[in-house]
Amino acid sequence: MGYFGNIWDGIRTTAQGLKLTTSVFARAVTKGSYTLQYPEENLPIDPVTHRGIHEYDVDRCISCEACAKACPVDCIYIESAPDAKGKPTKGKVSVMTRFDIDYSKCLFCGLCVPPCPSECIQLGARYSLPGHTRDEMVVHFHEGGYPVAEKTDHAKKMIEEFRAEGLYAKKRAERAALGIPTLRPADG
Amino acid sequence: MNLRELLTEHLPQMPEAISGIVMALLLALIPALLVVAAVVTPVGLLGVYAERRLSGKIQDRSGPNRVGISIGPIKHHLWGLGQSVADGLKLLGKEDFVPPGGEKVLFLIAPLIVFGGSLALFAVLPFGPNLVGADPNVGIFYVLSIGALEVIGVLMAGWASNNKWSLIGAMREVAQVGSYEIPMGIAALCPVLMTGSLRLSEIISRQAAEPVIWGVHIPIPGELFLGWNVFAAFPFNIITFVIFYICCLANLKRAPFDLPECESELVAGFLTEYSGMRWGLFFLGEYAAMFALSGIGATLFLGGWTGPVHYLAVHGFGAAPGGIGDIVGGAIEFTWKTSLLFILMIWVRWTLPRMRLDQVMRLCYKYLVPAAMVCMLATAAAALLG
Repeated sequence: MGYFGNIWDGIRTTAQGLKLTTSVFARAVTKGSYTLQYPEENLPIDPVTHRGIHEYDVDRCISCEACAKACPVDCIYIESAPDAKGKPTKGKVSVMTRFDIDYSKCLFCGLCVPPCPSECIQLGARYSLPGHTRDEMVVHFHEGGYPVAEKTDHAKKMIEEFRAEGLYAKKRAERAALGIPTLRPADG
Repeated sequence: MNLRELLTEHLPQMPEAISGIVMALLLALIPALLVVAAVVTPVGLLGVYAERRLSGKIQDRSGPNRVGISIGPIKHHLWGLGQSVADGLKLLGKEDFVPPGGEKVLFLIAPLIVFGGSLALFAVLPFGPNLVGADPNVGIFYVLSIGALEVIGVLMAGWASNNKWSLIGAMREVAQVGSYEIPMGIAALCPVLMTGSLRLSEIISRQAAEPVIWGVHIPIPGELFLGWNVFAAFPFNIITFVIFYICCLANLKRAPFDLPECESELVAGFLTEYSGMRWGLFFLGEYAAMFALSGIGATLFLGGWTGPVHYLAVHGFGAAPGGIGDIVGGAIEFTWKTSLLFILMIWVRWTLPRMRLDQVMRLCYKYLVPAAMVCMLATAAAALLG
């Protein structure tokens, strides 16, 4: 390319670049930019495949601690109310006094979900947990804040069993006696 | 009054001399402070805001759009206009750090020299009829020489930082700006040739007169585009204007000529060791100089404060010369031209990639200098024709 060819090339490519940025600018101004204004706008999330903050049913939990044992970072803390002999209750009658997950540790691997015999823990679609302290990163699931949205056939069968035995009302009353609030209407 | 007169004749009357000096200082300082408060700071803050918003849109994002006002019940995001103010306040609160082993005095005064250099450009900037700080008979010469002051400040900053990146950045600045002064000076000579004067007000009034292109009188008012210097010696001064504009970009270290602060190679070039408000002064100075050089470009080639808006104010609404309508019309005229050139600088920055140093030098010496010389010869011929 000769001397004047170089000049022409410089002018041509500069004009080409300016045209490109103008087209992007015009599109961003007229149709809005590609980015979202996060707290007000959110990207749609697939609730089936997304691994977000857990969903948990406190009434159906049998306090078997299978999820806590499966957890690779030990971020699930489980305690249940003691029975007449002073031992923590296990099984259907178990009343949860603590089911905390520390989200400053949790790595959202989902290994806690398959071991659960009552299918009362899942990974949900929520992903926002802002806070100022480490304590705010711990979610107290036994207060019933994040109920399971999608229920499996096995879970539905268990719900019917629990309802027939009147366990929902009984466990809620026992939790209330221990001073644990129930933030949602339980299943049944 | 020269120094000898001051010493021999005025020394006995020292109290009066002192009061005179104090008066002169006050008379110079108060307008200077007013210019800083009313023009330079808003121009810098708005310039940063415009840059960030436009670059956002060019990159398909929003840019700053949150920081507004919240005074009692009055709450509004103001499209993010408060962002620059918030950033400035943040910079004011930061530590004024001097790197150990650096030249402390040079390090501390370098940003003041850079900022002062761009501030001094505003002294001769004709915002409108009678709306000018000073109109010296060496107008353009003053602009070119005071604009070169910035190089000294940058070299001081680079040298005093005790940092190899800073020094390399400063050396690049010196090489680049020193080279681009040549085509810039030649390009600025073309309007001077057409006018026969370095005085900015005369360059403006020549562009408002009836246009003469290659000796041919065109019987329309010069304010309606054709009288502008960019159309003098058609089409050579269009090229001259482009050359002048490219040199302005290079002198301001704007992309694609931002080698002195080239982030990908030199961290931040001569700015690497600066923090807090001294860094902010470099920034404010850069945007103020962008506005000032855009204004000089508009004055030299695009008719300054004379043009269609001013023509409409005077002939359409019958504003008296020197009256308020005349001044406002001229100021609007000057502002739209300057803003256009300012926005073009931002647009170019977010379009073109950075050049290599050898490419920058080749563009200057191989292309801009010969082209500017040809254009100057053509302009001289056109000036001979009338």
